[in-house]
Amino acid sequence: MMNAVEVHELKKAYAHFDLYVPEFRIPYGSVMGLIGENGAGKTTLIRLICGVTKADQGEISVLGTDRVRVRELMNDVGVVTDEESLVPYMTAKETGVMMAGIYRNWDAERYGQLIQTLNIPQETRFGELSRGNRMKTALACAMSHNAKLLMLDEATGGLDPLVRDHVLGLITEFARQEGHAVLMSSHIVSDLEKACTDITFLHQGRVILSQPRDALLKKHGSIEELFLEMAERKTV
Amino acid sequence: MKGLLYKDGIVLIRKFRSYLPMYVLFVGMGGLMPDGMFWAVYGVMFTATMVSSLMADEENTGWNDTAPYLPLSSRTLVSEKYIVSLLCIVGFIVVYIAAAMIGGKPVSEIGMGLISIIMTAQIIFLISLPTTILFGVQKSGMIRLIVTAVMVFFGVVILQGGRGFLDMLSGRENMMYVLLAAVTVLYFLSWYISIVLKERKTLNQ
Repeated sequence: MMNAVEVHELKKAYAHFDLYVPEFRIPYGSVMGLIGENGAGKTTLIRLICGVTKADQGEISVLGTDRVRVRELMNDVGVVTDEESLVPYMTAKETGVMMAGIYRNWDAERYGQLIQTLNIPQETRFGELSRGNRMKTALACAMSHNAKLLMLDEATGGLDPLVRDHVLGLITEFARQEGHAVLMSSHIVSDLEKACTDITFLHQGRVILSQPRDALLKKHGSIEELFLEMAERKTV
Repeated sequence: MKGLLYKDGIVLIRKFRSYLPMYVLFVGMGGLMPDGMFWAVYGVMFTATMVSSLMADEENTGWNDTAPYLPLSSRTLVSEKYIVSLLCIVGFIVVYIAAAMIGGKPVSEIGMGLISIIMTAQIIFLISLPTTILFGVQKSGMIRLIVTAVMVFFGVVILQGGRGFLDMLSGRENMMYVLLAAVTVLYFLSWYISIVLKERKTLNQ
């Protein structure tokens, strides 16, 4: 098995939107970046891969298992969503105690290190933290249970440039470890250009391009320009 | 499961702390006072809505959007709430017995009081938990209506009965045991139904 995630003929239809992904793969060791305008289907694709949303049709395999709706699998997957909602009455320390009782492989030492290096206030309750600090807490949780796959949905939004750089460093370091992979969506194209090894463009529920970042950069010079160009071309 | 129980413990202490002294006060008064059955059952009715409040809070704070990304099955999520409800019942029993012993109540009266408390709590839980799972908090006005109706019914019966309520029960212990057994079966049935409802809801997302 070379891929952490494999998607085949995936379909999901809503009243005003449908997603169709004929083929999609995230190889081990890679950081796959998802780019697309609002409503392109990035979050839907992440929800389908995590088994949070049921597909109408198609096959999804995550870390070698096609039983994505079995929650046990989430012990090996760390997720940060853009609407991060941990318990608002808990401090970072208490959140760690809670997660230790939820995840099978919780690493309290690693969590403590991340809380310190990401400079997260330890005694402030989650609901009183800034958006950036809430994201950092969620990220620390996602990276502290020995996950093999990280799924980040707009996780770097709300972070200041310095912290964003640090977080991108953690993500690339995570992906380099054997048997690991990352899927991250972001509107900050420069982040994807910096951290990703592969880029997938989604537009109105369709994958219009999925290639290694270096090949795209060689051909087009900048991912941001390519994104704007493709979005414009498809819209016109 | 351990993590969820810890979470709910923190939420109870931080968000719903007013429930706890009321819980001890009303159920304790019920145990202490000679005609205190009304207070005990009222305290139970009031406090038993706490578990639905925990579920409402999970919906309002967005925890329900986070939980699906954690290694938690529908069975675990639902069972944890039922375990909290069982802990509530154990708490009612402990507080009531302690207060009744201080108040010097006869054992037979304590027994009948306990049966009333356990049945009231179970009825509220078996109605409110599956309906909150099925309809969600926003649409669950009907649940509150049903729970209120149950509370009013019990309240009126006990208020009208007063001491007579317990007298009415005396000599009919067997009927009370049968009723308690029936309500307990319904309570565990609602546990199973709640898991099925949650699984179906999750599957259709």
